[in-house]
Amino acid sequence: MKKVNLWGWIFLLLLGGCISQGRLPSNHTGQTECLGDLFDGHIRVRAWGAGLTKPDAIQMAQKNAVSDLLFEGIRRGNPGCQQPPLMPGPNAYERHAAFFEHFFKDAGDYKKFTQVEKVTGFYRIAGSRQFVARVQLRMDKRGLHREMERLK
Amino acid sequence: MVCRVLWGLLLLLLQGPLYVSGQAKKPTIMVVPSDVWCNTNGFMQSFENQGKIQKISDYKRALQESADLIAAISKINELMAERGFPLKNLESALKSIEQEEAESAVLTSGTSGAELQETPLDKLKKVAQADIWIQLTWTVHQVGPKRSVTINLQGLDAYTDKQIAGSSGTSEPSFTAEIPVLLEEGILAHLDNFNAQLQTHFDDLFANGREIQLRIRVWNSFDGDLESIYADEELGILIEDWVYDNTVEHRFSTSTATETTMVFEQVRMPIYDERNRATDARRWSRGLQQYLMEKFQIQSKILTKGLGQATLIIGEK
Repeated sequence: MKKVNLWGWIFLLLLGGCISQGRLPSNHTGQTECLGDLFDGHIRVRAWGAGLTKPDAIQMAQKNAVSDLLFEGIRRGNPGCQQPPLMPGPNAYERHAAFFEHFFKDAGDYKKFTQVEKVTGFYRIAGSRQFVARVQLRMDKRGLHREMERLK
Repeated sequence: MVCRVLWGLLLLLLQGPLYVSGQAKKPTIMVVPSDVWCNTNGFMQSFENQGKIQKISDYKRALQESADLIAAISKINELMAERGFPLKNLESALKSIEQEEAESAVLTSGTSGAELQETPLDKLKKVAQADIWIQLTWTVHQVGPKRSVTINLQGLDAYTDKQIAGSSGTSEPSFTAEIPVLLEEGILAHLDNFNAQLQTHFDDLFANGREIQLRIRVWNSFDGDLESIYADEELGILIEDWVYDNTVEHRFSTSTATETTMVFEQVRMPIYDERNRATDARRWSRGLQQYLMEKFQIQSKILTKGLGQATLIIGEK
């Protein structure tokens, strides 16, 4: 009887570990949020990314953050640090498609402008094998702006 | 992986007796690219159908030339299989047809040479023997550096070609390059609802029978017609009585009845026979053929088009 109880507790503890990984929160939007301006040309953001592995998901979060800052702007999060797009206007990507294709490659230059501070959560989409990562990033907004100025 | 195993064990412990006692049968499905997708991507072929040129999807060439299509079909197959739906493979069915092609390109009567032509699609349906065809369409959109996919699934009853389920969705823009991942993102939120529609239709087939069409014709060489008297009754009436006795809830509709032609539509035949084998229009109408032979010594020939249409021609084999 004691042995059965012990195995039962081990089973429940392991299951508890599975629960904490969690399903995607219902308020997840996938959009990058500004957490604060660091006043040294850097900003702190929270970004989301999805991938078949956890490292892939983190990498996607970095790409999404850079893409959002370049083309969409960052309009969610702390009202004091919301950012307009660094490459505004229609077809901003298409005008420099060759550059951005290279820029956003897995080992591309986008990495120079983001730094992972911490991963604040991994989630699963119901029915999918993909991980979704919520990542806190430090972004070199000034450096990215200078890089884009060279394109114009 | 470990978590999935643990959850699975827990569910099995809780539902074990229920699981063992029986589950609803699920329809077999086959995923194919839609006509729209094939036309957009240049995978069409011409087919002569009774003197008219018809354009139909060229599945074989599409599978040979589009890696994206194979990946997309595999992904949908995987998602459906995970939800317990038996699958039929398009590629295997096409290969089976190639092997049979030399033997029976055109069906003819053994005695007087009449013919009933089937399209390549009809042949594919007969070979694949899937209950439901899922037609797949997807379009890739470029959104800045990201891509998104709009996916559309249509579930068609393989016997009647009627649409019995539908679903569409668009994935979030993503840096992901792989079509299967984008497709999964696009359809996952809607897939369970789509499957519920498929299952509802299949449950209806169990309860009310599968819908087919039966046509009765008469060879010129037959000595008589559907108004000839057998056992004090017109042959056409005797045939109608047989259909009444052999349909689920006696459901059918006689849309045409002349001395040489009868057409029964919305005929509801049992989905499985007494030996629990899946029934199609040919197997079901064989019962009528045997009845006419045994009772009245009338020979007949069965011709079929796809799974859901049978023509019984009276007079000779």
